[in-house]
Amino acid sequence: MDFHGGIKLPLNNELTEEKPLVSLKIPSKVCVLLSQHNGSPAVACVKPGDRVKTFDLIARGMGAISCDVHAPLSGTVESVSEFTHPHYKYSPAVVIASDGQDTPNGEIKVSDRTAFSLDEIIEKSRQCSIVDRASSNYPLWYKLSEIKNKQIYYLIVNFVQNEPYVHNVETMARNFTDEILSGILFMSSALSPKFIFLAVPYHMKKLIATLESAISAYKNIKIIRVTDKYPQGNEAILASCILKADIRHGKLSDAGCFVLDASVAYFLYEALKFNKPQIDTYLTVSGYAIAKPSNVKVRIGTMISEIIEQCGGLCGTVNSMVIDGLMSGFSQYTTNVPVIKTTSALTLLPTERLSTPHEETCMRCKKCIDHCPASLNPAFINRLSRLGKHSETAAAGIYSCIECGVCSYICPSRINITHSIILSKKMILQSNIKGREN
Amino acid sequence: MADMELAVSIHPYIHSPLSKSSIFLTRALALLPVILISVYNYGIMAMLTIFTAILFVLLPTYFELKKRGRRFADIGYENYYYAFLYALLLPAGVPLYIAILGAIIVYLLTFFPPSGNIFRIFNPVSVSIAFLTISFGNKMLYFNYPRPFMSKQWFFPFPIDEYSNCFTFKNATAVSDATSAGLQNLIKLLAGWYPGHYCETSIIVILIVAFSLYLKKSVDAVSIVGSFSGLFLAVCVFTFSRGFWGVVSEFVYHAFGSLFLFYSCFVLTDYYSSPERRFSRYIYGAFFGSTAYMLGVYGNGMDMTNYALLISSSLVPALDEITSRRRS
Repeated sequence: MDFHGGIKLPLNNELTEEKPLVSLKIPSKVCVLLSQHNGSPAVACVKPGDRVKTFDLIARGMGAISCDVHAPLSGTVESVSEFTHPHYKYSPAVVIASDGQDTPNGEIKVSDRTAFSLDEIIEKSRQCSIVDRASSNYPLWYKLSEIKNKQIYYLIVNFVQNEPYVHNVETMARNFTDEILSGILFMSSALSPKFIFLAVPYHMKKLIATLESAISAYKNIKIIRVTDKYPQGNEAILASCILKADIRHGKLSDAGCFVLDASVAYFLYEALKFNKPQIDTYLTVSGYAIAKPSNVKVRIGTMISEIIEQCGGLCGTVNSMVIDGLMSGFSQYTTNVPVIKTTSALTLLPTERLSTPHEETCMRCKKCIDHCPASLNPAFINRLSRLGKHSETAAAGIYSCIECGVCSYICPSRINITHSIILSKKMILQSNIKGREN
Repeated sequence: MADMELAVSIHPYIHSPLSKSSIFLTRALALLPVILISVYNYGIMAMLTIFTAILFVLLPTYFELKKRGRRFADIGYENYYYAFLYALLLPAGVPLYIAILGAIIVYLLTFFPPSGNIFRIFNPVSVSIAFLTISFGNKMLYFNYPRPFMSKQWFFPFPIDEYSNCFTFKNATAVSDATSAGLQNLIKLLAGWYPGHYCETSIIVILIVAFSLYLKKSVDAVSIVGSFSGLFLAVCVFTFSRGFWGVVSEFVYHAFGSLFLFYSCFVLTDYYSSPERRFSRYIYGAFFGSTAYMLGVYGNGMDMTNYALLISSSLVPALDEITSRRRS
């Protein structure tokens, strides 16, 4: 299964591929950001000095697209204030000092149900505040509410990760195959799709073997081997590729398709089976500047500095620290940043491993056009954006851009086209808001 | 950890190893063997002309850089590439002052700030050659025979025993059928040498460097394939009465003879002047191929390949407009 454009990246998984999944020690302090996803941040319902137990509600999702936030450990609330966010500048946060006990707020009840309705899943994913990191980091309940009253024929489970140094989904899938499969079956019971496709890239051979033996009893579940090209993991591209129809520019649900991230299937299983809110995240801590690259399970709110320390500290000079992958992630200026629910990888690179781009004039090589997975003309959009003609970029298809960064990666002149596109989108948004205000 | 200085930028944080300078370096290096072969064939005269042409493309850039306090080594590989390309497209035996004038035109069209580095419809080297052909007519149409390596003639720095390539070209076209004379001509052609421009020295070398450029991802194969298919189509249409072998020999003759091969591999694939979409690049190449054949056979004079390229390039904006898929 292949798609138009894209690039084959060096995966650099050799550092962590064979490493076991380890749970990091509970930190002495966590800083839980109230903005865990794209959407309105939650509003804190605790105050400094309050004692909280693990899974306690500490902030309520109040906006149209928002999610509750739960305490990842037991302890005392130290402060409720602004803190550095890995994606944005700042976000409100609740700082909790651990009591070292990790006491849950009640007994964990195990549910023996095997089928759920869509409404029940929406309600449960809202209560347990599951965030879908694959679909632009929106809460799962919001994504599911969009497919309410729609017939879903194809349920695609996304195991694809084609960015260098990132393979946390593969690690999770190899360690929790049965749990993920149960999560898929729960979702299947709610959506009743005709086909369930597990999209796994060719390079994950061990995972394919594990999944093949796990699904042998289910006839409607099929493994689809997809290309190792980036950005195959993008939902629209993946669905277009599997269904062999161009649904990149519309809603997937209109084509009777729903894409579920494999890691989300695991958190959904935990929520439906044990009523457990999402308080952990699974990371690939990798790169040539970290002493012990590892696959780790961490509590949300754990500081990056704490993770680095528990992974053996740094080795050599560190030039760059990137969260969520080198292609679409966010570089950080400090280690004093907490992880959030959508964090999937932490990559630390020394100076010589990272290219420092110096922009040159465009040579019209058209490599960006040839490799654009959305079939756009990124060079043309970049030209319009730099001329300040932001409104014209919309006609050039700027909203079809998935901001994958392929154009910037491939550009021999090192022009940061993705940056221009993001900037244009923001400028259009701002002018629209101004227009509405006037 | 507190003292760490972290670089912050927008994604992506990694880039393809292929850079603008690496592409032009590869392209410039690919032209070096062609220069060496032409020096081998034409001796000191070729060395002098090629060196002068290259120097006069690079010198203005050097003065420009010097004004900004930079060194000669700071001249980009792009400048070298266009300089090499221009020098190789000159006819063997061209007077030095013509080579210098053309070089200045190349500089003005390529690197001079008001015109350089912006959207270019025409290849500056091609425009410069067309200008010289129109302005100096005969002097651009007479060529020199190659000289035996290391002979007395080889060391003579000026043109001698000129001949009109127009005559040779037309004569050769007439005998390019599957006759013994045509085959002889064909073998001679493929073996490596055909009189004319400095770049027309060795087909084998051009093929090898073009293929190595393709492997290095520094050249776009779509337009090259397009040009050969366009040529083949034109040959089929105009010479179908000669039968299968007649068509094949005519195609091989035109594909490897004259300037077609060099233009297809190095000038047609110029990034600035080729269309945006793959399909339009193919059409562009095909149009060039068929026009080059028609102008070559029915045109009146030399450098018809160059004019074919200029005509094809004028189609590029229209092709881009038609094939661009814009979404809202």
